[in-house]
Amino acid sequence: MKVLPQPATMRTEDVLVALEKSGRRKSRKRSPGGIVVDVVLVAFGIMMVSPLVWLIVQSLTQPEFAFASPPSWVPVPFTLQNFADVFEYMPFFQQFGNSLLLAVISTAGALLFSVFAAYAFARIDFRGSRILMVIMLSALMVPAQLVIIPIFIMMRQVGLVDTLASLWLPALINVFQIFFLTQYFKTIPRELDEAARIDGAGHFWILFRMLIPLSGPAIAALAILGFEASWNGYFGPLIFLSSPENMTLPLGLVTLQNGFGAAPAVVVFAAITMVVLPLLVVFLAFQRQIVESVASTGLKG
Amino acid sequence: MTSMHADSAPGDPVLRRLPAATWRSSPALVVAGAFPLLVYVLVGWVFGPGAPTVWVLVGLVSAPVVLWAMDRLQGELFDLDGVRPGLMRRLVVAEVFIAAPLLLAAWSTFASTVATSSGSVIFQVLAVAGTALTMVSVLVAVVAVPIGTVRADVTVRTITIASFLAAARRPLGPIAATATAVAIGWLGLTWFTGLLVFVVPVLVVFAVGCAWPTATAFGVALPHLAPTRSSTARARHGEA
Repeated sequence: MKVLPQPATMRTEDVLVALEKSGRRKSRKRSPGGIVVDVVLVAFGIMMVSPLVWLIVQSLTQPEFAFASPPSWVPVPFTLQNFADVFEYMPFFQQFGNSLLLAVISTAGALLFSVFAAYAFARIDFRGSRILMVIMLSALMVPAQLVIIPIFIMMRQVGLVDTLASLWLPALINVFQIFFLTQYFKTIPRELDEAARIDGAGHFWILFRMLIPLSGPAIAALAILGFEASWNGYFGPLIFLSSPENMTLPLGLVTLQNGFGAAPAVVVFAAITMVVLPLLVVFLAFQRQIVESVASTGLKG
Repeated sequence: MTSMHADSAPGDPVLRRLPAATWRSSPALVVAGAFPLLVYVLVGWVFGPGAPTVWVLVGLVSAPVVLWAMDRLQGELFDLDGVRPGLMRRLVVAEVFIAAPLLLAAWSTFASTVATSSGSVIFQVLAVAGTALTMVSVLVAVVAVPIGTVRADVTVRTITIASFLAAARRPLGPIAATATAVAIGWLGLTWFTGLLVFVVPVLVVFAVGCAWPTATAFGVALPHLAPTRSSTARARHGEA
């Protein structure tokens, strides 16, 4: 006997409904006041993002059509030539690699040294620790513009001027990071250390298996801010670096504008776009984690 | 012994009804085929025909007309009264799923241009990644737009995930629909320009034709089928 097929009907429970239920978030009621606040925030957001949009639009326009008044928000006529020209005016990828290398070494190295120093100050009672801490903190009071002169003389004496080492070597000792991590470690109960010690743990075990995992948000926030400061750093590279192939991107961008055979403004805009966009993408991708880690430690850039 | 009824014939019910539904919605499909070309001419005149932004703008401007044609076609296939989402929601679905592949295509064009000028490996990788993402997004869009424009009870995110999973499990339908449209477009560009008018209609019809079998195989419920004209006429005749 042949069974007649059932007429096709819209089932109440299908895979779409199941997926919807599994991924549904709590919807919040929106009040009129909340909507007004949202509108104001969006307006401010547009105002803040408009310079960046303008920059990107100009970088996609032919030089003679840039700086139009009123400003043009659409790249007409469209061209990608400015991006191609960037590589003619500056060793972009070399400088990108320099910036990345410097930022990674500075951030990772400074964090490593800071963690060790902070552990010593927070957990080991040694003679003169308080005085040493005060001396170290006093270094924070001296402006970087003054400190850079003796550092430059020292670097010249050891033959490291115009190398990346002249930038990342002094950056390994970051007094603010040491102070911040010391205070953070002090908030973690000593009873945990003592319990670990009874179980036979040493200093390295306590530091790497206990204190560092418990200080995750603080270390992440310091890493983000350290990387950002190193990536955007201009003053140090300006003093120490002179060869185009050794320069970092911020310095390279300025020499692109002011140096011998200066590039047109739209080419500079294209270079800035190429510098900014990767970081922007990384920030957008990890926005939640970045905001959470910075907010949880109360730090600001 | 069973009586042979149109609905009880073997095969997929959507595919079985598709030729008749296509014929009845052909005026809308013709408009949907011609409109993007008109937009392309206008936008290309303003921005220059080679700019990647042209295709993005053509897609964004043409999306409502394509949606209208697809609504007409699916209206002939399904009984969508009370099920279909509002116009804004349908427009959002159409705009998102049409703009996404075009934006990705524009990005990969940009990356490949920079890679060609600079010889940079990073941009070559980005161009290849952009092309791969474009292809994936096209396959997802082919399934997502027909489903997203008739299901009001789920979010666009859910539609996207389900369409991606469905297309990943049975990719032949979406690939065939896309390849056919691309082939007609290529013939239009290289052989007879008039064929370009058929690119969008063919893509719309094939998308509807492949989306529902692909989605139902994944577990998505088929909407109520619309009564066929012959059965409606028979019923009217019986009443009389």
